[in-house]
Amino acid sequence: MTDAFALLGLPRRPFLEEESIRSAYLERAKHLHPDSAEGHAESFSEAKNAFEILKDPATRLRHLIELETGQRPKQEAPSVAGALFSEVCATTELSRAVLAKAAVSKSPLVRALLLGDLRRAVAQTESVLQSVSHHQHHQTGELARLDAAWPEFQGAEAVAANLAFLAKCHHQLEECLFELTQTLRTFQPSGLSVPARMNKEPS
Amino acid sequence: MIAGIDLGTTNSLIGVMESGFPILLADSGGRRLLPSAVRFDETGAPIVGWDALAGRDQAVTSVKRLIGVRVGESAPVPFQVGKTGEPVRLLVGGQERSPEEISAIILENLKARAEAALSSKIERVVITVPAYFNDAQRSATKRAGELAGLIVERLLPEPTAAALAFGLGKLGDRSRVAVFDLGGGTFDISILDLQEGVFHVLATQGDTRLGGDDFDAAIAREFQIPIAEAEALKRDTALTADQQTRIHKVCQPILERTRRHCERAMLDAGIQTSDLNEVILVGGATRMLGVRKFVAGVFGREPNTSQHPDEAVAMGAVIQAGILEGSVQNVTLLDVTPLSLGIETFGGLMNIIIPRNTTIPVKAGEMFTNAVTNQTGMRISVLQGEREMASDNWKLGEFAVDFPPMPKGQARVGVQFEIDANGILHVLARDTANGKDTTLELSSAVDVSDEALEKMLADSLEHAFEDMDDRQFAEAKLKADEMLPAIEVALASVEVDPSELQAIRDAEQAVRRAIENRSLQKLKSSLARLDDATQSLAAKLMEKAMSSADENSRNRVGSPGARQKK
Repeated sequence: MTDAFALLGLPRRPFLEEESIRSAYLERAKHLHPDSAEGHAESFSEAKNAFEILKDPATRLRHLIELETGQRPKQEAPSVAGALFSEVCATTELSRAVLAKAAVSKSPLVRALLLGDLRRAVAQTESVLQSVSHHQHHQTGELARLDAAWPEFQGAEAVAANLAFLAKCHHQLEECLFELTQTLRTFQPSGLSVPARMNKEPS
Repeated sequence: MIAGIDLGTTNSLIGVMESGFPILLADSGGRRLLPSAVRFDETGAPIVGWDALAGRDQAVTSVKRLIGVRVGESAPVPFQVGKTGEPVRLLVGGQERSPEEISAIILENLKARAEAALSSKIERVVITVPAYFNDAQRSATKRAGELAGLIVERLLPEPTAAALAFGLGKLGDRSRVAVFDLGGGTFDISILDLQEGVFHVLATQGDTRLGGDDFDAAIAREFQIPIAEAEALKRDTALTADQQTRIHKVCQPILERTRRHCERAMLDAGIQTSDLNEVILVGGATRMLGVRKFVAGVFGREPNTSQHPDEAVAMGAVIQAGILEGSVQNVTLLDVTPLSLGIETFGGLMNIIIPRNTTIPVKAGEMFTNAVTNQTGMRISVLQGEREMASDNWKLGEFAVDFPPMPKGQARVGVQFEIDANGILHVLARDTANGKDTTLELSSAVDVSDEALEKMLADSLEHAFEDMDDRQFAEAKLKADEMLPAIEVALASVEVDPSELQAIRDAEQAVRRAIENRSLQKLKSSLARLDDATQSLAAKLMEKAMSSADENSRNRVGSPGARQKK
């Protein structure tokens, strides 16, 4: 298999700064891009794939384990999942439900009721996102620990599994938060139609 | 020599590299802008640009909005002919012409101008396109170039072009920029990382049907004036306060549509507004003060207006031409595909093969297997878009894979999806036996949609015969079903005075009676009454929602930058 680290001229380590991976990739891309004089389409796409593998800590670690052992790392269940998994599911479910209601609601009264739901969904999503970030921070610490102990890699599979799981959660929650925020903007009194109505005398 | 062309909705430009610098070429009257307008004289000969605008009623303008578009995908325009689902055609100068043919006439004019100015032939060009153009719009633009007798070396996204124009003079600097490009007919937002001569596009978003034209139309409607006068009013710097307020009122909702795209692009790029070094404005519509204020609000910083709104994109096209011909060195462009590419799978779902914002050129393989023994082949629909359901996305076309007769699951055909540097898709089938690739013909959705078209037609007829009253009643009842329980919930959480309560109960009663009597008129009027009666109740609920519950959470609206970094 291709060694992504070697391709970009980076050391085979669990912990790498994102910026140094990017710089290494851009340096290669500059010369290999099909538009440049000595460009080469196949090598360019190899460098691009290497960058994709290395910039995500979870895929980087799995790639590293595979290079070192010659075997694909075992797919472990992420140990951090447990309660966090159900929290993330519950939150995304709640967001979807509120957004679905918001999409079809027409009357001002129903929209007013939904405003509270939307804001609660935002608050809940933010709070779960925060705990996911907290876990991510912790796992990044684990990555640093692995890096310090390298070439020993006891527990590397577990860290990779956790990082992959957390990245997925993070992405899902960010997506929810994006949609909730966009919808909330059209619901809030500072939005488009609401203030005019609020100023009108009830008939 | 390669020329760079900005083929704009409103204006077009052409330029070349000259002794290491990009320059734009003027016509014999010294004007660099060529209005993208075409009309035909009595003999059927085309008149282009300023002269075409003089006979405005007969001139085709903003043809870029129609390129690669099928009838029914956008609002009909003057001169338009053709049936739903077919590519748009225009009846002008006594002939039916495609938007690409009209665009080709504009390109020919630019080519002639450049050849006159340089006294040498122009054969190869770079043409800019909106970043958010889909496969059909890009292919049609390329075809327009070919119809004009040009070799199109590259289609370059407009915001990327603007970034090139901005960054060429400062290749040593590391910066992250957003390019907010609001032209005559299209809107794009791109986020780029610039370092050591590499222009790395991180994310792009846009709307190919949003631009200055929409402001003109809205202003024309508001003031009941012709479009030409609306344009003038938009540019007028000595407006009365009342005029200003009215223009702001009708333009703001249009501008507001760009906000989501900006925030989406920032999220996709994985950076925050505080990470940006510059927000660069380009496109004629960004001259409007309201647009500048709006952008400042979205990104939390004053936008950079150093680039010429009409010329930056053309300059970028010239620079890209320079990169391709080798006269510009040490500059590399890593661009992306703006839309996810996928295929339709079982259950009508979209299966993404190349996600949006993937650096191009890119190849991705997919293996297809026979689902039943001796299956001879299958048809595969190729889609572009971000929606989960295949039918909600834009269909590029279909292709067929052929299987040799084999037991179930054993016949396999590998298919390569390749998006080239122009952002145009090619589909290749790989023969696993000899490893040879053959290009698969992608039948455009137009060719294959006869059946679909008939179905659409049948559906619409069905709807026409349906009892309209029944449909409307069902819709109104849905609203009532949503409203009645909501009132109970609302009353349980907010106090109202007795007279208000009485008004609500009366209106509620009227709604229930109207449903019992199946009276559409009464249901509509009583629902309106109920909306009125619950107005202050709704307001109180809003107030309560705004002040209570989540004090601990920041109000995220309007501050995408407040997000925690990944």
